[in-house]
Amino acid sequence: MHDEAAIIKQAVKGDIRSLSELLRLHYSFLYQYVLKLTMDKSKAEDITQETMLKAIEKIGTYKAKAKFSTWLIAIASRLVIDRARRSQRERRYVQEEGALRQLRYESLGRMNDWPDALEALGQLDENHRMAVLLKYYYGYAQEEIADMLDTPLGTVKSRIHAGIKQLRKEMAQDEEERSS
Amino acid sequence: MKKNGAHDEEQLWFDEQVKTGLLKFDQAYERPEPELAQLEAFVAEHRRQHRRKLLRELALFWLVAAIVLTAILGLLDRSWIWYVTLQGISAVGAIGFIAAASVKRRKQSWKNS
Repeated sequence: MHDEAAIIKQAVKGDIRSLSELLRLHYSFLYQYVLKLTMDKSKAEDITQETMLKAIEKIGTYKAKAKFSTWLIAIASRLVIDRARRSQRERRYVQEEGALRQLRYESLGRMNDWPDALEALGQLDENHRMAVLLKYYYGYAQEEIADMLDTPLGTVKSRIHAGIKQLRKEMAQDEEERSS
Repeated sequence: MKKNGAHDEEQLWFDEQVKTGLLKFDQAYERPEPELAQLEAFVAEHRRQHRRKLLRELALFWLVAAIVLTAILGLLDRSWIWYVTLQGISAVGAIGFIAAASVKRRKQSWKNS
């Protein structure tokens, strides 16, 4: 922790080696978050790359109010939101279905498994999935999430509530289908 | 108290039903750390490109500003009435644009909820 604080200080001042070290340390964590969020390997790679580029451009503005990993997640989340706004709804639906199928297939190869939880998470709207992951998996408070996403607290609360409700419903349906 | 209780119950459910699957997923998709030298080159190159882009944009800004300023001063020299009219139209246009952008942002935030 002490080491990272010193590296961050140097990176903010403009030291290339320090910034590179920071990005290297957080690369996998960032990719894993974006992959779970987008459920699309190709999109996750693009967004991870874009996030790193944005981090390089904006490192001078990093204030160390939150952890560096939190800052990266915030950048990545906003990029995902921006992308979703730009792409058409119908085209997005078709792309997401295809990407999820591909991810399911690849995950079966890597993990020998495709947990129901992932299938259920894949059915969520991206905004709800983001809220659920940040709150329940990564452990951020609602106020922190609102700050990271530059979104009103009320919106974050309703997305968390809707997201977890839908997740439970999806998993209950999967359970019913298995037992019938 | 009730709200916290509900959140705790949801967190408990999530930890029992979902978390394990996600941890397994993270393990399966863990990426090796990139080479530091490669990253340094990547960071340095992007910084260079970004600086060049900013300088280009700044140069363009000054060029456009010089043209606009020359045109306005020319207009002021020829006819102050037209100058005042143009300033008035620009001010109304700018206020209108800001108002429209603010309304659009508000609509977007409602849509996102």
